[in-house]
Amino acid sequence: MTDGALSGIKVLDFGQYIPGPYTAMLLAEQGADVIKVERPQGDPYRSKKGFIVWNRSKRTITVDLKKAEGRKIAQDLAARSDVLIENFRTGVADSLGIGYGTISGLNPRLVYCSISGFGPKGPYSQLPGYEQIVDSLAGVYNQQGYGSHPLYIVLPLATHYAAFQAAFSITTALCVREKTGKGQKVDVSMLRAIMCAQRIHVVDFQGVLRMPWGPTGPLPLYRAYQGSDGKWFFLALGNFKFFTQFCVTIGHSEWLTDPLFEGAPFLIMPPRNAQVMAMLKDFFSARTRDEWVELLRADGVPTAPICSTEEFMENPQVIANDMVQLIDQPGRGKIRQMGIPVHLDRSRGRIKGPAPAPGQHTREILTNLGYAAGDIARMKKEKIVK
Amino acid sequence: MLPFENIRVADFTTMLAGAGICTGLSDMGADVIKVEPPDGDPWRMIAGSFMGTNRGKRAIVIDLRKDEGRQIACKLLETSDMLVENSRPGTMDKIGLDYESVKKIKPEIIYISAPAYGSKGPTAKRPGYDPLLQALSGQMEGQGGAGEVPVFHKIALNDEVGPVLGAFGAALALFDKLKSGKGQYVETSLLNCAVALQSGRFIKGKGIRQKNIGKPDIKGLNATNRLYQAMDGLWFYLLCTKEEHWQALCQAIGKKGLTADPRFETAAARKKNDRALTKILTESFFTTLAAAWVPILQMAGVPVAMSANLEDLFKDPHYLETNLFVFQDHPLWGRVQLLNVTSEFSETPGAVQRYAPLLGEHTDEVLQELGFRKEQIEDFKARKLVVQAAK
Repeated sequence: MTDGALSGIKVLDFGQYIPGPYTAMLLAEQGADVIKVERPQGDPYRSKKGFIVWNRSKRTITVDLKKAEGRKIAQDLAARSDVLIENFRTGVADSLGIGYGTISGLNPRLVYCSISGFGPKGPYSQLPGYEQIVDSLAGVYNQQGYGSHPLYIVLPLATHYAAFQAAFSITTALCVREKTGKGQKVDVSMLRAIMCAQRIHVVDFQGVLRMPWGPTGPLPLYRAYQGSDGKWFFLALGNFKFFTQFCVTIGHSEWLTDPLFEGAPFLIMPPRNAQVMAMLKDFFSARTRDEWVELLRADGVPTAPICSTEEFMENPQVIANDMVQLIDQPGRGKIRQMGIPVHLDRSRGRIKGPAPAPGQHTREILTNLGYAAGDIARMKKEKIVK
Repeated sequence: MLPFENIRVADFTTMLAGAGICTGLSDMGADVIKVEPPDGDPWRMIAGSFMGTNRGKRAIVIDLRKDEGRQIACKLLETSDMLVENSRPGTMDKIGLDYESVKKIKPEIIYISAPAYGSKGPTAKRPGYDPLLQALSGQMEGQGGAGEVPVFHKIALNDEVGPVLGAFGAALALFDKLKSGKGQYVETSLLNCAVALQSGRFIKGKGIRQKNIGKPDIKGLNATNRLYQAMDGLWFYLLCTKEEHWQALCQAIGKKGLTADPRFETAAARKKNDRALTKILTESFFTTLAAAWVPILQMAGVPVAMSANLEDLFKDPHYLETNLFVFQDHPLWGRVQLLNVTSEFSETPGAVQRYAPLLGEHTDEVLQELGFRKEQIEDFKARKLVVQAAK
């Protein structure tokens, strides 16, 4: 067993909010040495619960990039880094002296990743990169809606998909660098990331089939139902074999030849689909949710209870896959949170430590850069660093 | 140069998550060969979905239930750098294509598994689909609200994290191999993805309270951060995040008085009187078209966006100008518009290599590349070990 695949890789994380920081955390826990650079006012998301997750496994320095000496520190760090991540609004990184033009000149081997709302070019490139603005323009809310109106999505999807795309793309660029010796700019946008997550719908050709939609699921054999106790479970008869087993398990083998179910499981056409849904709704009201789940699971019929996220954290399968980790957060106590989602068997990643306090490693990082104690004290006094 | 040119991926995946890993690698230049059974990947059932998920690949049909079919697959593995699969744990073992067995053929293979629930643990062998993970992981309840009708997300949430985290894992293993010369086993699962997608919610500790803000008919977070409908029936998203947005909004809708109204003067007051404010804004926005409101609010500096329909996306000038799409000529479906490579690289951009293949479209071609002679291949076909699509 060796250290994580990215051990020895130095990442400079100028990210704020979620996308940049989360990307950097994912790299840190596959071995990279990540330094988070915060501005004097701090990452605005320090107040969010998730900050301790998105920013664990990193060291941090607080620098005022509006001051010339602060910019020099940032540039010195970049000159010694392999990866730089930023998710400022388009143009801001340049104005702070850490734009791609400047940094690639200092360090042609650096992989420079910009995460933005809409990308650096095009009519939308100046729009603010908020989750809701991206989701609206990407058609996400209208797609989620049914009947006549759109629906808001609670989870910040575009933000998260962008972080995953950035982690993949940065690592890909590092592979390229092994062969060419050169870095490059990698542009990741929340828009393109959420479009990719809609890849099965964002296809157009003559005769394309657009699926009907509804809140509990699109199809009668692939949707949520309630038991007699009002609790919900999801039935996912994803192929004919499962449909067959389902009919046998519930004692209705005759459905296999019933014209009402023709086309099962995916092609039960309207208006029969509504009929089947009504029939199953009634059928499932005979027993409690847990009784149905147990009965169906015993015969390998795909089903699952609707649970809360809190319940998921107690799920033995989640725990067995090391996805619940207990981290000691100074001043906050022990906090259970996500584990490492990608597992490499030989180059094992690890969680390196809790999210740092503001400026926790400023002195250490500046000392490593070659600044004398006197200089560091002066810069603190002049509010160039904290 | 494409990032992963000269990397061959043997793709044994089906459906979405696993298949998407290989598509991501194909976009980066890898030679992805999709191995399907005679009946094909069940995902082929919905043409558009299959096209969006599997473009970039070549496809061959091998009957892996037969010994000789497996031997043909092993010949493919001899020239492969990576194997990707997403079957239930134990399935690959049954056909002799588990990691330990494949290592005997190709010691430095990178072997990527994307099972639904992970390969360890009490429920590893249960059948897995994205909605089951949406159900178990709290994503459905988080969207619809506790005790409410659970809401199925139209985006296949976890099935779409899988391809990206799986590709991340593949890239990590490739990076490591460039330095160490060694392959390894890589795993991610829909289960892990369901956790990763809830990074800010999957937290428990003293003093940490998670609030479920889901609702069956949820339109946003509050009166100034939500979807609104205009006179033409179209919807747009209003997003005030700063005090100055609120001021500008009131001015823009001709209701400057609201800023002095004690019910709405401060953020706290607006929270308290959210319902009343929503009603006022709903009525205001009904007075003209969405196409008018969006530029008015934009000019006033208030973040706002049209809520687009799927059909609108294909013609959106930003998307066309920034090459979000590629256009392909598909032998069955004619002209197809679908998504281009997701991320952009200044030196080594990726490329969509080809249209989503027909079942067994490249069997002849690939087998010949592997060194089989034409007569051998015809013999394999006669014995139904492999299938080539009609040309």
